[in-house]
Amino acid sequence: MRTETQAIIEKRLAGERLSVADGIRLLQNADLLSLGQGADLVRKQMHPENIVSFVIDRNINYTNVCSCQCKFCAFYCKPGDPEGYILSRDVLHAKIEETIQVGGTQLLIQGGLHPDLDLEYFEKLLRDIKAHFSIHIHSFSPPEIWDLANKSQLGIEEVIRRLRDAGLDSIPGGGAEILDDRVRHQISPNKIGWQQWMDVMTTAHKLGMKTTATMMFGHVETFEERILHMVRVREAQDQTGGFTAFIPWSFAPSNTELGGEGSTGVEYLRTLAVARLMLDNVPNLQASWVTQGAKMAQVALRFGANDFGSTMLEENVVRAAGVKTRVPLQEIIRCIEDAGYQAVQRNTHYERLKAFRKEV
Amino acid sequence: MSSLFVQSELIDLIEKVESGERLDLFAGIRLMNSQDILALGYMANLVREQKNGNRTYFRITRQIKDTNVTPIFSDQADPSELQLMGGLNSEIPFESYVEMLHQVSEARYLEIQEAAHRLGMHTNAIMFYGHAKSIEEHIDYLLKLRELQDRTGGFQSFMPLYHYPKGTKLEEMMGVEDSTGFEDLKMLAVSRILLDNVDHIQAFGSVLGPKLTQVSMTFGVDFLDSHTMTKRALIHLIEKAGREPVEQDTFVLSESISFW
Repeated sequence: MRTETQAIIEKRLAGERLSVADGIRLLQNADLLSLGQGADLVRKQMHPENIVSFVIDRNINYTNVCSCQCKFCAFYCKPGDPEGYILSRDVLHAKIEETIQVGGTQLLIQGGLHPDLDLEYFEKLLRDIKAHFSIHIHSFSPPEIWDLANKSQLGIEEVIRRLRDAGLDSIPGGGAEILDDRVRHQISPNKIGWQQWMDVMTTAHKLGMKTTATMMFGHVETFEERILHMVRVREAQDQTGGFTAFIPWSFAPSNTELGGEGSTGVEYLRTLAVARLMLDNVPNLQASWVTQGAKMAQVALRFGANDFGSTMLEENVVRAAGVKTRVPLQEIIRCIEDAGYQAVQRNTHYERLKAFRKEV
Repeated sequence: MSSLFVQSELIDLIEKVESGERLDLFAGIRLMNSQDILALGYMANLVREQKNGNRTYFRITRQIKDTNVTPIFSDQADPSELQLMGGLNSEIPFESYVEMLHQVSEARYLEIQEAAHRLGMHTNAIMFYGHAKSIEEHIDYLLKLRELQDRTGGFQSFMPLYHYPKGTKLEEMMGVEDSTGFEDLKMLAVSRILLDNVDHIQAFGSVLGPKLTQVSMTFGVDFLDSHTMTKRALIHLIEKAGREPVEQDTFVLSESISFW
């Protein structure tokens, strides 16, 4: 028996591109195992080697003060709040030193949109890091780039160019939430629109920088909006080829203004698998142990994911929303090996650095 | 069969399950050694839907505060011990339960079960899995349960439960001591596939966590038991998995006994 959704999955396996309508049908009607099997077969086409990669990095939030105040966020403080902080140079450098000590290759430095921190502050911060450490800086996000552009009265291309010249190597895909303005008005009314988000990414790509794209789902968006998000990334990727990876994660409702039930485990796997089927031109798909836990992230390796994301020596934002998962390096390697793959440390560009084996 | 699974390394076993043929020890070992968890899910889901359709039974268990539970195999055991599972709370090391089960050998455990079935009782069976035993031993035990069930028909449900290392408490589960997601789903699915004569496969939600518990309903599970989730949360999980929730206050029949 061949159902309509199986026919859609087979179409993709035959190398055809799926439409928005196809994607919506899959999210609505396909059964979980068919979605997983389709995504797993596509993953094998795209990554025939039996490898799952990960990056050793640290998420550092230079400030928790944020003028954006998104309703899904449990991390920010309003400007003037006594709980607000800006990391000192000494603390920042100590964190970077620790990251390098454990084999880390990547820094993910993000805010807060702090009203007092301008482009010159970050140029100095980047130059100072590069002068003292040899590490890839995968930092800021489109909302921060736009915030700096507005404060400095410069265009985003000029801002990205100056940050790059000061040491920024690539840009993570944060702040994408759902790339649709109806949703953004509801959950993050003060944040840039989806086209502004995409402008930062395509501009960075044209300057030769790589970026990722994230998606935070499971709040107010419809299936159609979730699929539109994927298709908008796919269309931009056709133009630039600059996205290295797609990283879906589910909204964690605790301690947020938005609240609600949050997304379930089945919903996560379904969305991940549909992302693998829709995004035929984005090479890597990350499992999110931070939002799903180690067991589910491992299971995600059969639902399209080929990368375990980062070790995240530090992660503050999801943690603030009530998700307390800490998965050390050895656990990541164990999950990957137990699922039948070789665990390989990669860099930000998904180049393989070192094969790992679980310590016995 | 779904055309998506024709390339599976387990295709011959999928065909057997589809035609209702029983799997033997070697097939069971192959299933456990395979990383193709989606094919396992596919087979388990076939059996699950044949037996229980789209229904998922659930029970909210009470938490027993008194942790001085009498070992269930002692002479003092009575039907109130049914609630022992409800007492599986985070304050009691898993080892306590394991120790209780280990007071009897596996052979003796099966004898007691059979004796209860002979008295007209229905029982629920449990199996601890993990590093203490080999895959072959696990499969062999499942087949012994199947054989006993052929003779008595007295088992109404089966639950595999991960055997935590000594002293492990629920709140310390994150990290290398825990089972993996693959391991949990494989054990549930293989139990469903092999125990083709037992009505229900049960997952213990408090151990798997809500996300994997929900996923397990596609890997053979049709009965959920949890004391860490509210009724509303459990119904939400079941419905969001596309299943129909059916509450079972007295899932265990009045004359039955749980040997755990």
